[in-house]
Amino acid sequence: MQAIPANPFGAPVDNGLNDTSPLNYVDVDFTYPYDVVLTADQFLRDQTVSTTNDADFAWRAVVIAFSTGPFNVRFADSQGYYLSNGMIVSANLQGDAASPYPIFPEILIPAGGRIGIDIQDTSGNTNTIELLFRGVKRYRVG
Amino acid sequence: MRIIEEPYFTPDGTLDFPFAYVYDSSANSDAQNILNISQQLQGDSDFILRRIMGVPTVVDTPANGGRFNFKNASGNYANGNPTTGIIVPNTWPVVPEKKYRTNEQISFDLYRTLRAFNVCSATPIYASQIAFMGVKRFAKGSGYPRQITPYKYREVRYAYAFELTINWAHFDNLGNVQPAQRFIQQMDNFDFELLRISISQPGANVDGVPTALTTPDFAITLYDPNMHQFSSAPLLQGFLNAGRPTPATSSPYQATFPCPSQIYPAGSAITFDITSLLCGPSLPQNYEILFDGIWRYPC
Repeated sequence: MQAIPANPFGAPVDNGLNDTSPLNYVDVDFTYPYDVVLTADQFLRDQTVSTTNDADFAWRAVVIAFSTGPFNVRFADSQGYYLSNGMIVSANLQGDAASPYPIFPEILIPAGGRIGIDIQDTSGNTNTIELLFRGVKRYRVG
Repeated sequence: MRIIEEPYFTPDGTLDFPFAYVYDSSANSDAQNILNISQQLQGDSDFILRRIMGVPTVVDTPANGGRFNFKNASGNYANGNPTTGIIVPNTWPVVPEKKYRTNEQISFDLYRTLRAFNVCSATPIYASQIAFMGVKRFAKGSGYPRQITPYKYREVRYAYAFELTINWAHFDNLGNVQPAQRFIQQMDNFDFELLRISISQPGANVDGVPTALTTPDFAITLYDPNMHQFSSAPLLQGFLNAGRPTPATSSPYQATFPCPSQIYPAGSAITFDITSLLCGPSLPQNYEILFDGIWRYPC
């Protein structure tokens, strides 16, 4: 192995990040999207993004890729445990794909599992939303 | 483990060379779904994909259905929604990086295309590209020259400011696309490590604050000291331009190029071709291209 000098102006992603896959697994970048159109003030509980059966998903970040208005949201892991004590306003989850809202430490969603979502429009109008759950699929290779 | 600041390691003997594969969508039609597009890799090396830039210049707005998706080397989609794609902004980091082997392809889908363009009477000048940014990884013993400074040195901050005047339009009087023009910035005195490029127009100022160039006025093909291209086709200037529109705003594509940095030995030159994307009536236009980096000062 040889170390590559980092460009101090460059982002870590451009300089390169070493493989941190656990032993006998390989991590592959993946994003699960959640698309919804809320009517004015609509509150949807216990929505689900299902993970595929081929690999566990290590959830590392959330991106609000698009919304036509503000909303509140709360997430739960695959066991149904909420990740916050209440709804979070979307403005507190700001970020874009290049600098997303981090989920740290990562949350492991098993293959065939789910990410739970409660979501509520607060714009008073129809609200078209896309959330992206960024992370890695963790494939077993050993 | 929380330690994330560590050097990046590559296999022994390999050479990482910053590179961008460019997909130019000028020849597409608007309002189409185009699936399974192949960006063929060149046959000289593996490619490590780290960032995708420019999707909004190729597809319509999210509200109108502009979407994108791409595939791993295995052929599996890199994102969910395999039939509709996802909304991708100006820059999309790929973490962990994805490896595509020699002669493989990056396959991707475009949903509801809409090409960005510069207005030029009845004939638009398209500035519509997706850049797959990363590094070419040359194999051990491939013979590709690595730049090593042969003398003891200390690092001294230095920059070369190149004054560029574009006095030729994208189209000539007959409507033909004009060829790119070549420029060089000579490396005098010492070896120079190029770390970043910023581009602005002299006098560009918004509310009393100097501002970098944010419009796609031209495209660049940049070369290394051995005249190898850093991209498969001319890159829109914004994809290389690290200059900030305002002090509080990062560059539109959060660009830093080249990454890893590139050494230009003393006596060599930073060579670059400029493809004008300007319309005749707006000519001439003046720019400054700042090649920012480090002098390797002998000691």
